Amino acid sequence: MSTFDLTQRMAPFLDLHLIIPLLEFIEPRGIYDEKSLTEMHRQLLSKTNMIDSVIETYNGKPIPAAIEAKKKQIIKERDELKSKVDSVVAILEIPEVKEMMDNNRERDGNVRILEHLTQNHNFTVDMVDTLFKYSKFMYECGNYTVASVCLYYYRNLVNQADPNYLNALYGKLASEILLQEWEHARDDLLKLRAYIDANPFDTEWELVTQRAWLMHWALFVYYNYPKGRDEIIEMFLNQQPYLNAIQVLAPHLLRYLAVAVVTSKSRQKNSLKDLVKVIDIERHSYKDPVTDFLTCLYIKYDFDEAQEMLQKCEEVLSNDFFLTAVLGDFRESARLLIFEMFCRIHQCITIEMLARRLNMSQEEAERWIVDLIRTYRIEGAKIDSKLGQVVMGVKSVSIHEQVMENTKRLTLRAQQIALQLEKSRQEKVKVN
Amino acid sequence: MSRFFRAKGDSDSETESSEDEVEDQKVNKSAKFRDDLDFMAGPEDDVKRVVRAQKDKKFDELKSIIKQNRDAKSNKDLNRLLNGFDSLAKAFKSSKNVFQQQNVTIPRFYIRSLVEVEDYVNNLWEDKEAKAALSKNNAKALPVIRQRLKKYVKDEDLGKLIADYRASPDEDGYETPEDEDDDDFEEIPEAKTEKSPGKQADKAADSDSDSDSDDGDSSNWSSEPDTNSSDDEDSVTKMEQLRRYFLKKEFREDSKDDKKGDKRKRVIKVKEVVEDDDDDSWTPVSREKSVVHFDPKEEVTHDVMIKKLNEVMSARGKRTTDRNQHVANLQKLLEVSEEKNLGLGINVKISFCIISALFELNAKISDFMEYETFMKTLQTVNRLLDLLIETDKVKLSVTYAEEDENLKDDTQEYRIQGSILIAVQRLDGELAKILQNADCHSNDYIEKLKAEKDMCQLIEKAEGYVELRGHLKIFDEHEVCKVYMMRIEHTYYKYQDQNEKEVGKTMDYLCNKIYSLDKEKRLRQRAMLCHVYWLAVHDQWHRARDLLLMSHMQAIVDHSDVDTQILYNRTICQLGLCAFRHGFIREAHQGLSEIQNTQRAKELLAQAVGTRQHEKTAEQEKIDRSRQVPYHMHINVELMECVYLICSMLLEIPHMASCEFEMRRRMLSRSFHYQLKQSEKASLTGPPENTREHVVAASKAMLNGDWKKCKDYIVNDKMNQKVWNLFHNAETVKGMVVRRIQEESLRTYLLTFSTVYTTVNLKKLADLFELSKKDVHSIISKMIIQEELSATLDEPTDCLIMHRVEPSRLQMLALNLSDKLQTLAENNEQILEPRTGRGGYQGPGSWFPGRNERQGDKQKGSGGFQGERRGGQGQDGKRGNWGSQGGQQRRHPQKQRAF
Repeated sequence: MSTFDLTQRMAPFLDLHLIIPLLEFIEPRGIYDEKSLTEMHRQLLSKTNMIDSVIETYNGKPIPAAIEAKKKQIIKERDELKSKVDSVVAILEIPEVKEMMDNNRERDGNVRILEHLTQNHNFTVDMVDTLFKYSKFMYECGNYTVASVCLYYYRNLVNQADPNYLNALYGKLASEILLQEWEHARDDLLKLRAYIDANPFDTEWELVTQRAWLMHWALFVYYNYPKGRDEIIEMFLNQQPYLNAIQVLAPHLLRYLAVAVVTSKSRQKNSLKDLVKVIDIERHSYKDPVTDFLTCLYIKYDFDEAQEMLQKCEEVLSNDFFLTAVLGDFRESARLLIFEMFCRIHQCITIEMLARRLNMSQEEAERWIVDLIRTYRIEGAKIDSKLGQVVMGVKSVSIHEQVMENTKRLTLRAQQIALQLEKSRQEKVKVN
Repeated sequence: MSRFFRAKGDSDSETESSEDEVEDQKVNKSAKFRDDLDFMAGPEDDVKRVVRAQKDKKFDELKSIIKQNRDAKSNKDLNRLLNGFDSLAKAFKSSKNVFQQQNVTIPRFYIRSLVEVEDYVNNLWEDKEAKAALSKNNAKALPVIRQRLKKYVKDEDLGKLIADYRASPDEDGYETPEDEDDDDFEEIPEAKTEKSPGKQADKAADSDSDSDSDDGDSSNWSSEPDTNSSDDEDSVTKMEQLRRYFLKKEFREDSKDDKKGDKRKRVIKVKEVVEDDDDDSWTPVSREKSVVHFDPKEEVTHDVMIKKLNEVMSARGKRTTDRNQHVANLQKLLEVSEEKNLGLGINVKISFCIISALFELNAKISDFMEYETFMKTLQTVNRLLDLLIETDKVKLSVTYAEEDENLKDDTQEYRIQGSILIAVQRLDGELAKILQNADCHSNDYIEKLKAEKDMCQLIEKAEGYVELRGHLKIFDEHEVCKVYMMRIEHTYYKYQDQNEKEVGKTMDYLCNKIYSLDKEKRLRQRAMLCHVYWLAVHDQWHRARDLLLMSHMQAIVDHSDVDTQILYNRTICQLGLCAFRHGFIREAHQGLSEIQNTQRAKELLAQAVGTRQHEKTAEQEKIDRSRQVPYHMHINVELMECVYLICSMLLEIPHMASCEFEMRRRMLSRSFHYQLKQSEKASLTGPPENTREHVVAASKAMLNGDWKKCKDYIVNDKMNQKVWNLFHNAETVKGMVVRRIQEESLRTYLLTFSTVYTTVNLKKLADLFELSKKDVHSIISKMIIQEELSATLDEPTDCLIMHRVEPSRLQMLALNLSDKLQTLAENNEQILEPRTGRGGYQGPGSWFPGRNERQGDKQKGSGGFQGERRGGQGQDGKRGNWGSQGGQQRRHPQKQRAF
């Protein structure tokens, strides 16, 4: 069952703190050996400063002394940092400064605020670093609220060229994600993406890696944000650089992309073709039931296998941290896809076979089809309930219709060309 | 007759040259003429250079006409001879003034040419048979010329001169066959400059041991000056004498040549002798040899040795230096040095010098090394490399200046200028040249190919050395890259059956090294291509394809050097074959059509020099030859063609069936259509013979929906032998092909006969094509979805219901018209609308971004009617301007791709 679990493949692209929810999600599913998973979890936590959580994992068993010692040390460190940072925060929370920050624009490069602060409030450059250290520390401790606030300040103070700027952006995004503040997280995500797309990196490789990271983090946001799935399509599929990053580094993201496309209502038609193409290309390096389902349906035209895959998909989806929520949606949409395909190919289908293919009882299927015909107005589809068949109206295109179809838009196109020519001519005249 | 004339002609050119010189001499004769003979022998070159007067021009003019006449004579073209004679007379008349001014008498060669013509004409006149054989024109010309000649001689009062000449015609002695003669002409200046300083030096430095033949010469000459001086007044006789004198000189030149040859032979002997290290029989030769001798009283120390070495080395590259001798000297030095135990530093230095000397045995870079020399050099390099690996006391690096060299101080490490890596590299180049020049079908080639193995070992060793000493920073980065590259280049084309994984790892390792080390990208590109090639050969299709796509090679290859382009072509072909083995027909077709559609596959792969090309200069041809891929690396072109045609068949036949009603078919593959058409034209179709005919026959069978026949044409004993057995996984490939044939035949069948059926039972189809029902279902579904087939399935009865109606003629025309209108509109839009740039990765699926699209353009162009074609091309041109790589711009360089 663990074959299709992606936690391991995703982990390298995620922050430690982001992996924790994944692990917590997986633990009760019993896909992996429980012991090793707990051990894993503990190790993970011990790399952070969340000592209390580490202690929790021992579940009342005796706790090693080293951890106790570490806890003390961390508390001490925290107090130290806090004492330093208090004054900084105090300055930054002056209403006037706050207002300035809120009205800040990216373009100014944050220089103005910093200038203002150094002139009027004894602000030094060291303080900025302290702020960053503190927020990082707090993040490590699991205090995401503080971290996110501090990083917000930091981001507004520091120049984009600063080496920590990118880290701050990531930190802020992670904090918001862990706080489940999706609106904020989305804003941060966009900022981060804009920053990465500006390509401040030395090598192409780094750029690709950053994009891969970004996409993984985006999953948290987009699968929890109402319109997120369309945005996934927009970002993953329609943006060539990101699609390349998927192909090069993280083909497993195709699963999320595929689910997004299948369940999306508005974007499905156009995206499906592209998606199938990509899946076909990457078939050798990645496949799972979700992508296989699409392969069977759109490349092999093998409905039986598609059906099998659909069944497997349910399992996979229910065990996926991001996708459990959309399982119902997916199932419904996938069935619709199959049915649509059937309608296009067949003239006459027995309901019994359909029911089998769609994983339903016959009666259920009949009801479902009736619903479909009503809601989607499938042209010419009728149920012959006596024979237990669905009959499609034959819509053979006669040749003169075909000719008409072909020539219909020609006038319009010609007109457009003429208009365009006229426009360019005028422009030329203007230039001269 | 002809012999006579030829002989005369040759002697003529000889006299010309000598005459020439005489004239030259005469101009400054007052002072110099009677100078001693040394002057005559040596610096005549200089004198010639000083006087470049009208006279010379006139002489040249005359000579060229004479030459034409001679050609005319040998062709028996009397008309031409007549014209030639007239122009000769004219030219001579005009030159007369010049001659008089410069106090030159009528040149002897002119007289002789007259005599020749006269003789020729007279002979012909008397020889009745020959006269009868003459053509009408020529027969007419003969008396005319005879007449005119007589008159001319009389008019110009040349009778005496001619009589003189007849009295003492040019001797046979110095007649040399024409070609040799030419050679002489080429060689003489070189030989002279080469010889004369040396001779002078000889005389100046050590007069004792000049070779005997030279002496003989001078004694020969000694009588001459007297004659010259005595007959001063009579210019004709004097000239005669002088001519004789130069005649002698010709002899001398010959003998000298002989001597040179002798010397060479002797040197070879010397070499043997040196190797044997005894036997004094060769003593007479070596002046240079003596250099190596150390003063027996003096103790051989480092300094003495270094001095000696410098002395020997100073002779390097000079014309006078015999290269073989040079090597021998150095070897002698090495022996002495080893004998006296002078330390590693000096040994390495000398060895290194020997290696360079061995490389320099060939004067021209385009010449290839003798195989024996090559083996010897290989051994020397090998030994030196062993030595360097063994000890870390010696540092050999190009970064040292000559002054920093430390050859003697053994307390420190030895520092020596030079690079063993470059030596290895050069050796590799020589091997390639040797193989290029060997006859690839002979055993000789196989013999020589054995050296390749040694070479590989050497390179491997060099690589080990680099890695061992890499931390010392004695290597240039580029050198290091080259070593890795060499190893790659010796690996990438070899198919490994057993230890594929191991070699694959090495390949990855080497390529990664280059990717990280190379700064200037050229090697990186090459390494990448080699890597792709290797992966393709080893059936790692996906990796190979991805690597190629990521490298963006297809976008930049047109701007890279020719060798890289050749490698690119090779790689693409190999990738195409790999795709075929994996059953990716479309991709294979794309890859191979790049090369196959050009009709010049062999040239593009550098496996043959183009013949049908427009005239190339000799130089270009030489370059072309130097680029040829050695035979053992060749890609089987016949196999490639066959694969390409099979791919075309699988793609094209269903396509043809589907556009049956379109007026002009769109072609996917031009050369395939060409083959089809050819076979249609043939009045009599016999059973197929070669692979090509097999595929064509199979295509026809497929077009009729007869898959079994098609299969039999593709898979049979003949084809097994020529095609399938050449694949290492023949059975799977065959299986794949048969399966594809079944599928495509089914498609063709359905498309062709869709108008005949209203319903077809799926089961029957499955039986007919021996496919499972599921497969049939899936194929049909695909066709319906892609709107190739207007039909629907009836699930309860398992039938395919056809909806296709045969269009009436009017309807068909209307359809075609609408199609064309549409393409017209599209073209217009494309012209108007600049496309967004299309550099970089072209998105998923297209594994040939730029090129692929370009092909599309071509199809459009040929698919439309006349007026439109122009549009299509214009659009090509435009694109060239817009996109980073567009049609026209790209097509041009591609033509040059060959070389």
